[in-house]
Amino acid sequence: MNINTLAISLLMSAVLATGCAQQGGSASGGTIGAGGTGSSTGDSGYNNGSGYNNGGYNNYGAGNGQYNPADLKNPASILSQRVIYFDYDRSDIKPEYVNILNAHSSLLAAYPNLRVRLEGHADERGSREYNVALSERRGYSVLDYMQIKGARSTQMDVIGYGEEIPAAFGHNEAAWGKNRRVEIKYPGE
Amino acid sequence: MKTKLITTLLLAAGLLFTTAVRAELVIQIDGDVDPDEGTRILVAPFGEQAKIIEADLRRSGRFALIDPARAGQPLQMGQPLNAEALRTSGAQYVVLGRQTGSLDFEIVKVDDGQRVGSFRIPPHPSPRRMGHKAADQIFQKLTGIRGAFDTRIAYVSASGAARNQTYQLIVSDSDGFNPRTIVSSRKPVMSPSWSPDARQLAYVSYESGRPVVYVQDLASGGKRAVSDPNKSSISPAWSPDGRSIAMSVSNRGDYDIYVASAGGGGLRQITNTRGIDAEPQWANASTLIFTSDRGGQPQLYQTSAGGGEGSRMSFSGSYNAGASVAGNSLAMVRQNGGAFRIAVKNAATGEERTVSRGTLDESPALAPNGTMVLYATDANTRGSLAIASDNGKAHQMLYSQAGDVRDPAWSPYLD
Repeated sequence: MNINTLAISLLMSAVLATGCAQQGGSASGGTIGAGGTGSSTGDSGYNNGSGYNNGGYNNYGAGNGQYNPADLKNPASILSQRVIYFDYDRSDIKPEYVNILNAHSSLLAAYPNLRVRLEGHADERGSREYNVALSERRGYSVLDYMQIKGARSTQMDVIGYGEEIPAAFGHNEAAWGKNRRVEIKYPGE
Repeated sequence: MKTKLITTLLLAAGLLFTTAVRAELVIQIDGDVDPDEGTRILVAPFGEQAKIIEADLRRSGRFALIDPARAGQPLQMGQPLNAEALRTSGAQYVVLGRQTGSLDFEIVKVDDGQRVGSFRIPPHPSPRRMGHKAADQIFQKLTGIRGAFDTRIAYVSASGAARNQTYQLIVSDSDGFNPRTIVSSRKPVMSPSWSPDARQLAYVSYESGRPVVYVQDLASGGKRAVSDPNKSSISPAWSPDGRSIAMSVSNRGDYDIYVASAGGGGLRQITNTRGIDAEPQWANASTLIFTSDRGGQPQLYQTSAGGGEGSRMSFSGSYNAGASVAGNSLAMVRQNGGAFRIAVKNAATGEERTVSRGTLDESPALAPNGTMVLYATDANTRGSLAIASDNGKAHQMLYSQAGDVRDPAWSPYLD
């Protein structure tokens, strides 16, 4: 019963995503089929392993089937991870987040009509205005990285929110660490 | 008939855009001038306006208030004073007053019993403003500096759960009374800047999805975007002549200083460097001061409003940002070890002083006479405003029970 519900909701996500991809009349027709398969099994390319871990992300061809937008709602998929964190006053991407960005880059590469907002944030230290700029810089450092990994710059929009939308309140490193972040937001988020 | 209709419409507009705020700022006094360090003044208890005068003078860091009970006599304007008893109170000056329609008051020097000034504040719809105007007169008479109590402040309030806050831009009297919400949004609002006639505010809102600079008329509530809606633009600062607004505009996270027409359009690029140039302020009609991290750490730079990369002007401390300028006074955020505090520099004498006591103090805003600085701080894990006198002696916290308050801007003189 539960599995059925999950399968249906995933299938619906896939249908929505399919509609999205078709709008632009892109060459990703093959991916739709692959995506449908992936979501109905409730599994993702990542957990299947083969595509992602053997360097498959050098092959962005549609129909690769590595990821599809339905995976965004699958907690088992790496695509459900949409937030990466930064060091104080830094905008360089830390190695532990490379896999997450690689996965989202692959998804965007396979679905050229999919768009994301890269929302940068900062902790409260430093002036509010400087933090808007710093957080935007973080967003662009994610954009630049994802572009190298196959996403198109036209698919990504960057907004720097500075320290204005904290994920956690508090004046300590525990809160600050959660606030120095870039959130990858897909349509409807 | 026509006039009446227009008046009615204006009133309606005023009601629409001036929602009253329930919670006023609560003032907590955290530091005062020692009696031997300030001018000792006794304000006779002639009503509510006497209390406003006392609070204003105390906030300036230049006056030590003497308890009127120590005068040993009823203090009434027009009645003879017992000079000996007054001297015992320790007061150097006594303010006597009478509240009728107008506010009449005089300043008496205790030493010789001479009246050094006699004033009348005409009736005004806001009795609190009459008190501030009186404090301005007393301040000017006894210090030689124009008073700045009868002014306004703007600040941002945020309330609600993390990631789900409501942001309000609020305008109040300089002491936090009479708050009015002029913007309320589910998207961040920040960086208010007053027009030189104090009738409009420029600010940043994310309502369109990215930070855009808007100008809003306080009386009508009407607003317009003055920055390019397709580019992130932050930290507006109105020029002294009211014609231009300096701001910081992004090119892929690389922010540079620009100057736009206050009416919108006419964007001119002032700086063009790698890194973040932001927080411009007008030192005068032709000079901009701004923060840049081009040297690694944020420092203050100055440049011509005609354009140019600018030259570094702050050298003490590894981090200086967020300048506020009033006359010869320059306030900034300075990092000392792990703490961010507000420093005030006198450009004429070169003297610098750290005036705040918190660890995360920011957004300094000088009063138009440069004698007080309003800034954002943290009190018991809550974002609060605080005022310090430029001599570092008087400290007051202004906090809200409704949420965090921050990002203050102090208005110019009102009239």
